[in-house]
Amino acid sequence: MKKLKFIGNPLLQSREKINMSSDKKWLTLKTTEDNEEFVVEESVAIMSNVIKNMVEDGCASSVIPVPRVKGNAMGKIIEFCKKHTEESDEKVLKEFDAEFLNLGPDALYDLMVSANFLEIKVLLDSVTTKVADMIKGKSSEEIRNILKIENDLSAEEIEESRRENCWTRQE
Amino acid sequence: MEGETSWVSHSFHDNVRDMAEVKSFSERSYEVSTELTVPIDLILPDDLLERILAYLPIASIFRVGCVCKRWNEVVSSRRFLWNFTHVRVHRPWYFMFTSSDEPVGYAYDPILRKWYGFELPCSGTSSWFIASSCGLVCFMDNDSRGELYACNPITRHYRKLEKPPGSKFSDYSALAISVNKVSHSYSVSVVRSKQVPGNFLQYEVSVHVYDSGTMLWATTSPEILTGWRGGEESVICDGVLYLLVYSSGGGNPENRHGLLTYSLFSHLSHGLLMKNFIPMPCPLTCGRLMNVKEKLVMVGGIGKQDRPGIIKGIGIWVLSGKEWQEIGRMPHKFFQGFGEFDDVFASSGTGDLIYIQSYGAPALLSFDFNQKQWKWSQKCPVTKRFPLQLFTGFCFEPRLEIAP
Repeated sequence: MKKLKFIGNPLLQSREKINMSSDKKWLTLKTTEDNEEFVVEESVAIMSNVIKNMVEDGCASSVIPVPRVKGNAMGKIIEFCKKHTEESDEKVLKEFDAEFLNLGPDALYDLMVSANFLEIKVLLDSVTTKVADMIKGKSSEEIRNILKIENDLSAEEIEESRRENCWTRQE
Repeated sequence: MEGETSWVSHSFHDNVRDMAEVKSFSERSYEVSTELTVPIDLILPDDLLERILAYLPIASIFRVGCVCKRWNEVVSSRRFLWNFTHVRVHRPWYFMFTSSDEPVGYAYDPILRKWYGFELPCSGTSSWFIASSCGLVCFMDNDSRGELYACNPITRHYRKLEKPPGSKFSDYSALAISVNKVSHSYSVSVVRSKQVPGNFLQYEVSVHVYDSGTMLWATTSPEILTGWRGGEESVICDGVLYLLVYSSGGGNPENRHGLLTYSLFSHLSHGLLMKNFIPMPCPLTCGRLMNVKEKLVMVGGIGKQDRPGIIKGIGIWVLSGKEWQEIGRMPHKFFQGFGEFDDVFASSGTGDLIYIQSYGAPALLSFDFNQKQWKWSQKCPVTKRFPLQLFTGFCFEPRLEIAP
C-alpha cells in the first residue's frame, strides 16, 4: 500500500518534485494538532463533506488545515476513504470494514468523533454500528464496566425504569 | 418537539466552538487494546451517543436507559424515539399467550431470536378480539360488556376507548385497527353480524368505525346478507376494510369463504358490501387476513376439493385488485413439523413477516415476505401442560414513539 504521508521533510516541500499523474487532483491535509501532512487525491478527500464543501466553495488552498483530528486518526481515515473510493464490490468492502474496525475502544471512539467532525457518513455509520454491537445484548452493569460509566441513577429511578418496562424476565 | 431532527449537521466552524476538549490519546491506542482508558462520556457528544443507541435492538433500549442519567435522558428524548423507529426497520414481534385468563405470555423478537416473558399492559386475554397496526394493539372484550382498549405493548401506555355499539346483540364481531403513520391518529372498526330472526340464511351486518381524534363512533346502516355472514376476521389496509365472510348455508360446500370490502373514508351510502364480493382462490378450511405493507394478505388453510373440512396445506396470497396472487405455500416439511394440524390455526403478520402457529402447540413458524423464506422461531419456553391446552397469539410492531 502506498504511503502518502509526508512529515515535515524539507526535501519534499513542493508537490512538483513528486512524480504524480497530471490528470488527478491532489490536496494536502494538515492536522493542526500535531502538524502532520497528508497528500491525498481530491476524489478521496471529498468523502468528507466538510472538505468537499471547502473545495466546492473554492476556499481550499494548497494546504487544508484540519483541527481536532490527530495524525494517526487522519491516517486511518484516509486509508478508509481510499479503499471506499477504489472498491465498489459490496462484499469486499464489508470484509475490509470488519478488519479495519478491529480496534480497541479508544481508537474506535477517536475515529467516530473524527468521522463525525469531518462528516464522512460511510465511516461514521460503520463505526457507530460497530460500537452499538459492543453494547448490544449486554446488561446495564456490563455496559457501565466496558465504557467506564459511573452509575448516577438512584435506586428508585432504576426501580421505576424496571417497572415501566414490559419484560418480566430478561432472557 | 426537540429542535433538530437531523443527525449530523454541524458546520466545520461550529464544531470547533462547541465540542468539548478532546483528550489526547497515546500512540499506542491504535493497537488492539481491550480496556478503555478514558471514560466514554467525556468525549462523546449527545448526537453521537444517540446515533449509537439508535442501532440497538429495541430490547436493549430499556437496559441502556438504566446505565446512567445521561443515557436515560437520551433514550427518553422525543427526537431519539422518533429517529429510532424511523431510521431503522424493526421486524414485528409475536406475542403468545401462556394462559387463557391472564394477559401474560411470551413475546418473540425475530431479530435477536429471543423470547421474553411479557405482560400486556391492559386487560386482554386470549379469548378477546385482538387487532394491531403500527405499534398499537387493540383489545375488545368478547362478551356483552364490550370493553375496548388500545395500547402500545412496549411502552405500556394504554387507553380505554368508548364502547363500540351493538355489543349486546350480535352473533359475530370482527375487530380491526388502522394507525395513520403521520398523524398517529387511528381508526378502529367493528363489524357486527347478527342472524335475522326466523331466517338462518340471512344476517344483518353493520360496520362501526371509531376515530381517535373525535373519539366518536360512526355506524353504517345495516345491510342484509343472504347466504353469507361476517365472522371474526377483518383487517384495514390503505383505508379499505376487508371482511372475511362465511357461507351461512345453502351454497356450494366448496365455497365456504369469501371476502367483502368496504371503503372507510369515502362516505358512500349502504348497500356496498355485497357489491364488492371477492371469491376465494380455492376451497379453504380457514382464512386469516393481515396488512402487509398496506396490501391485503391472506393465509389460508387449503382444503381438499371434495372434503373442504380437511386441511392439506397452507398458502399465502396477496390481493391485487380483485385477484388473488399466490406468493407462498408452506413446504411439506414445515406443515408436518407442526404435528397434528387442525383445519383452523392462528396467523398474523405485518411489515415483512408472517407468523403461523398451530392452536395445539407453542411452535411458531415465520415466513419472510421479502426473501420468501420459511423459518422456525427459537423454541418457545412454554410447554404444553395438558392435552387440550390451546395456544394463540398475535403479532405487533415494536415501536417506541406511538401512543394510543
